[in-house]
Amino acid sequence: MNNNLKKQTKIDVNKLSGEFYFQSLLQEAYVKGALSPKESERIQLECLKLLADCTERFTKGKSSSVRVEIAQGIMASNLYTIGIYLKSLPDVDAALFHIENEPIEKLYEYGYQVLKRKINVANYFFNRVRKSKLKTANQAYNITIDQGFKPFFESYEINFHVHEIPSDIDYQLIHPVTDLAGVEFVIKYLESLYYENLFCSYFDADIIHEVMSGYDESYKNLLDNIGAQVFQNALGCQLLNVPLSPLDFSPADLNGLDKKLKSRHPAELQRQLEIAAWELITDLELTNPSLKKYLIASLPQITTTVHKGLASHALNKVFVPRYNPNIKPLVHYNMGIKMDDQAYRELVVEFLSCRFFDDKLAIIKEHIKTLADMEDLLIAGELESPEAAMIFDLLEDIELAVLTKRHPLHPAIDAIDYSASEIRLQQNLDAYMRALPRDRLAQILSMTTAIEVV
Amino acid sequence: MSFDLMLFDHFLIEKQAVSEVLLCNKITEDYALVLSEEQALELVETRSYSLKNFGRIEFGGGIIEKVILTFADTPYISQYRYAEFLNELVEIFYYFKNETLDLMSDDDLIGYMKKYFDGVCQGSLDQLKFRELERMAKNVRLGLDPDYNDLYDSEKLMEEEDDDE
Repeated sequence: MNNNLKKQTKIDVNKLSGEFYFQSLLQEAYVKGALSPKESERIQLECLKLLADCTERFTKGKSSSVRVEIAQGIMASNLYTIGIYLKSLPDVDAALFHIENEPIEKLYEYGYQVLKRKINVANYFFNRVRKSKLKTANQAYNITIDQGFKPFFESYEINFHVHEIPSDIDYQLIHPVTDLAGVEFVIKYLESLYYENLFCSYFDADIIHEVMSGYDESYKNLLDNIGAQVFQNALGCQLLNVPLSPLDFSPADLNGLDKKLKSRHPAELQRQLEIAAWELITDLELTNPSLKKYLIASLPQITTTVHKGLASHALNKVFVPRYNPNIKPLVHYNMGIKMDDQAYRELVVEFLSCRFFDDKLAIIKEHIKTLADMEDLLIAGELESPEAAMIFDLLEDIELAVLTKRHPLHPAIDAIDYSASEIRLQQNLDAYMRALPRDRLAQILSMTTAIEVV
Repeated sequence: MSFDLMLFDHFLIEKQAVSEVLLCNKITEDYALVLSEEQALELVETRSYSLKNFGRIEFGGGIIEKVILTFADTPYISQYRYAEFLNELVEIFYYFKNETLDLMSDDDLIGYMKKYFDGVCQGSLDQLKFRELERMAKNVRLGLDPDYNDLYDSEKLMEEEDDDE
């Protein structure tokens, strides 16, 4: 007989904060009556005494007063240290028992010892992460591992600033670490990153590079997660019952996936992805239970992504076909020779002074002979979106493809790198492209990958 | 129950501080300077007000005892206005603790206060606050010797030039 009797406790564990564990536990215990007002007053006084002692150590006994921000920092650090010890106890009742029966100073000392052990754990995971580091061009990933944790291991201050995280962590995880601080945050982050590395190590680094290039050619500058995309692609392959290692999809594969998943309800979709995930785990012979748990926990998020991809007919953004950026383009497009500067200046002045758009069109038809001049005029012409659209109508698909390649719209990344006129062209072009029939748009976009502008 | 520092029960802190201040009477009695319990409480309240005003926090009797004991032998104070004088000194102390960016220890700051008060200021709190300590704080912030005085230096230079002539 499985005896799973659980001891009843007044305190709701779910209401406790991970970052401010001690404070939230005291608050919860006080509210629920598990801690008497007298006890709580004792704890406050003892915390105050501990703060006084720590402040004295902080000032090396040379100053009896400190600025409030400093005292608040020291207090937060002390409470964090105590919290870290209480978390190490088997359950909340044990934690409460210790709070009631041990002086706060003692709890702080125990916490301090736990803290030292935690730093060793962080070190252990950091070494594992470094050993399993993926060969990738993604800068956030590389910088986070190579340099991001240096400040932590070199200058983590466990006496007065233990709740702070002196590190430069840019790389985003599948499961972002929340509700933790200090060394606990670092451990959780490194542990998660290690599992992601471990999963990626089952695939070839060059293939992962191509998958990520398919996701976005400039992925090396992005803060997006690599492991999540690899897992998504692997799931797609698993759903198609094709070998996992290539992580690639042909248009026919994507159609197949679309048909297979299209009419599914989100709950059904998640169940199907879960089955595929377990098959994937078996096929890859993943043995690490924590890694399995980590991957399975990301399924709700992936289900939402797949569902959105299906709804917006953009499954190729979820199950990304591989793209090798090193393959030379098939078409070399020459933009043509630009007209004389003086003539161009006069043309622009005339163009801008036109009252009617028909006159502007006439100028374009009469004087613009190359795409290079057209591009300059589109930038300098101060055109409204409908006007620009009418000019784009004059262009052929390959010319639109060239313009799209040269002026992609990346408002978040490049906004500061371009002038207002260039951004206006990007926006006009983007609006025009969005209004095109899907087939034509797909054709133009596929051209952009095969063109090299000379 | 909140652990916000500013919400700690100030009554508990003040009660402890008052009893520590009153203990100083045993020593200052020799100089005919005594604080009543009411005055001690007022002094502690001044401290609390100054700490709050200058964004600082202190534990126990803190510097009040040090100020009382250091200034006990100054020739410029008597029992008359003794409490008022201490209140002002406490306020000045915290103001300059901030102005010196915590670079100076309590003992050093009180030591300089006493030195200037008994010396060039000749018992004037205004001169102490607005002239000597301002100059000293500026020196500390600039990494100079606290006693450095460019006015004295230029006077000295002028005297030397006169001597040469």
